[in-house]
Formats: sequence, structure tokens, C-alpha cells
Amino acid sequence: MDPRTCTLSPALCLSLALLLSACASAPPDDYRPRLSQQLEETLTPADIQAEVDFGRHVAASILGRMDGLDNDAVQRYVNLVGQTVARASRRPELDFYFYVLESDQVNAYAAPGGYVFITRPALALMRDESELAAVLAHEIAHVDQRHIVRALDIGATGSDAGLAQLMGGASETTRVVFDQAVDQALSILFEKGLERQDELEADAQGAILLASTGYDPGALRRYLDRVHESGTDQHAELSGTHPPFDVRLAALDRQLHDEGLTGLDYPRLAERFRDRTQP
Amino acid sequence: MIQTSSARRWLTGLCTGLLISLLMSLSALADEVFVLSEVAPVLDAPRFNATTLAEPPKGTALTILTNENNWLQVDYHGQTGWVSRWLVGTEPPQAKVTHLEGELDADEVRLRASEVTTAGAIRGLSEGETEFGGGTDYAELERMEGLQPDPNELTEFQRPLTAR
Repeated sequence: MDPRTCTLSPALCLSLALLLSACASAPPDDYRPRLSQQLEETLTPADIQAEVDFGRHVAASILGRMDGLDNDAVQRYVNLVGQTVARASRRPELDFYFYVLESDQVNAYAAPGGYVFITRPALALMRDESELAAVLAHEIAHVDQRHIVRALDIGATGSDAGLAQLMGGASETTRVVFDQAVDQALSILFEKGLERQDELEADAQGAILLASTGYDPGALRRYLDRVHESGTDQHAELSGTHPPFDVRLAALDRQLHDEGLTGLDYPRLAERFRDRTQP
Repeated sequence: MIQTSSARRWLTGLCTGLLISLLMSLSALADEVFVLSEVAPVLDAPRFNATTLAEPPKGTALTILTNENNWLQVDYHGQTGWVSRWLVGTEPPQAKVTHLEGELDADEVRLRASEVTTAGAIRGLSEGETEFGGGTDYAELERMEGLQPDPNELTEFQRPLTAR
């Protein structure tokens, strides 16, 4: 190929420069959603099916590493709270599932397609139902915005198309790539974490999900503050895959103020939480 | 000849650039959004502590008048109000997709497990092991999927939240 044919024309460069400058102009720790992500949501049923099937395999892999809490009453309660918050999700095409995991870590995870997990120590740190709803809302937001699917590095065709090809592929190569994609998703969940901006967006959308479904929208801020002040090694684990607490708390404060989410006097339901989570 | 070729590249680049800009502008100025959430109040000001004017059902198309940060000013049946961007989208809601539709039968599950094992073997991993460690537990996953509440129980559960 003649290398000159690869040279971008000045006009195209100008367009790309405008595009890049638009992307770069967003403040790094802003809670506001990236417009580009919100406007390019055109998924085919095959894309969504692939996301669900892939997420199901990731969820089964998580359960291969950790056991579920052996208490059906608590599991059912967490599901009721999760289903309540999921009503406000922008992914009505998905079924959401919620599960409490036995673990020594304070954390929560979301696999693509609607599979949400929370650990028993995280549940133990909560004081009311709105805080449980807040953590589940944060995870629902990750699913809603397909953060993990976007973070996967599957071929050059983009993650959505790549996933659909992977789930339908039968060749040795696609099997290897599928296996690698599952490993990559697990690595994001348990080691590397998502992009800082993804976490801040999940915090922000989580507060909206809470307010829309009638829970106290300040619940995530209260819970994070408590985890932060607990000063345990659990805190360090949670910070390893998430932005620093002071950044998250500051972003949440800005959002609660800007979006009129303070002083709403929405329920926290502490008594019901105690009754349903304590033996 | 070189000048003609250069001019053609300029023209092609210019057209491509304009097309990209046009497409971006059209996207940014989408004049309609759809309610995707089951709860998306239209408020009289761009903040959640404002007065609720209407609660359009999921799938409703709303005409965008303007926007402010995370809020869209919309027209809904002649009423002007504000809706949060987090509750709407530019495409109508899609039909429900569940794992049951794409669920593999028992033979296919075994085949898929075999495929994954084969893929792992290619990469030097033993049976049932992924690079990240651990295998899969579909029995536990089915327990998780079986915990979805009855709709009547869910409605009753939500009463303290909707009674405000």
C-alpha cells in the first residue's frame, strides 16, 4: 500500500481533533454521564442475548470461586430490594438477579446481563434498607451502562459485535477468545477494577435509581462514609478496585446538591432491614 | 496529475469530515427520547425535589425542547417539564431477553463445557480451571436465578416506598 494513501487529510484531522477535544473537555471526576455513551445505544436483540449469555457464564464463574449465603430468607429479601431498584433501570429488556456471597471482603460485583452480587460483610456494615438498595443500585448502573462489556478487549469490531460473534462461534479460536474474555471480566471484577469514570457514573446513576424508586438518595454516601471510616483491611480491598473515597464522596455531594436530591425525606427502612437480615 | 490526486484526497477528506460532523450533530440534537425506566417523573424544574407534573409510562416518546446538564426539558401531551437523562434513551425499550431464550439444552451445556475445557487445555490449563482460577457452578447459579419474587409479593414489599 502506498503510505501516502494512509495520510489523513487536514479536514478529517480537524474533525477528529474536534471529536477528541470534546471528549477531553469533560472534567475527570465529574459525575455527569458521557454523552457519547448515552447516544450510541443501538443494540440488536442478538447483542443483548450475547451479553446475557456471557454474563451468565461470568456469574457461574464467580459462584465457582465463592459460595452463596445459605439463608434463603436473606437471599429473598435482598432480591426484593434489588428488584425494587431495578424498576428504574434503563434496561427493561434484562432480568436482574441478586445474590449474597460468603466472603471475607466488603464488596459487590455485577456481571453483564443483570447478575448482581453482594458479600455478607458488606451487608453486615449496612444500617438500613436504603443502604442495601444503594449498593445494589450502583451495581445495576454498571449493568445498565454495560461498563464491563465496554471494557472487554474483544477483537477490532467492538465489544458488542465481538461478544455476539463469540457466543455464536464454534471455531477453536473463538473458544479461546471466549475463555479469555471470561478471565478478563473476572480480572476486572476482582483485581483491576473498572475505569474511575465508570465508578463515578455508577454512583451517580445509583443515586437517581434510589430517588426514582423512593429510597433515600443519600444512602450510598452514608454507607461509603461508614466503610471509609471503618479503617479496616476491608476498606483497602474495596478501594483497590474503586476510586478513592474522598473523590467519590465529593462527587456524590456535588450531585446530591445539583440535582435536588437533598432534604427529600425518603424512607430508609432501618427496622425492616434489621428484621429481615438478622437471624 | 499529482495535484489532481491531492485535490481529490482533500475533497474526499473534507466530505468525510463534514459527514462525521453532521452525524455527530444529529446525534447530539436527537429531538425525541423514550422512557426506558418504569419510573420517570416529569418535573416542573430540573431537580428531583421539584413538583411532579406527570409520570409517563415506559416506552412513551418525549419531545426534547432543550437540555441542562443531566436534565432534558420535554413536551409531554402539551405539558412542559423536565426529565432526568438517566431514565430515558434515544431508542425505544426492547423486548425482554432472558437467559432462558438462549439457554442451551443439557447436551449443548456439556459441549460448551467441553469447548471451554479444550480452550483451556490449549493454553496449558487443567480441566475445569480458568486462567483466573476456579471453575463454574451452574447449580448455584440456578439457585440464584430461582430467587425472583412473586409480582404480588413485590408490590406489597414496595408499599412503604410508594406511600409517601
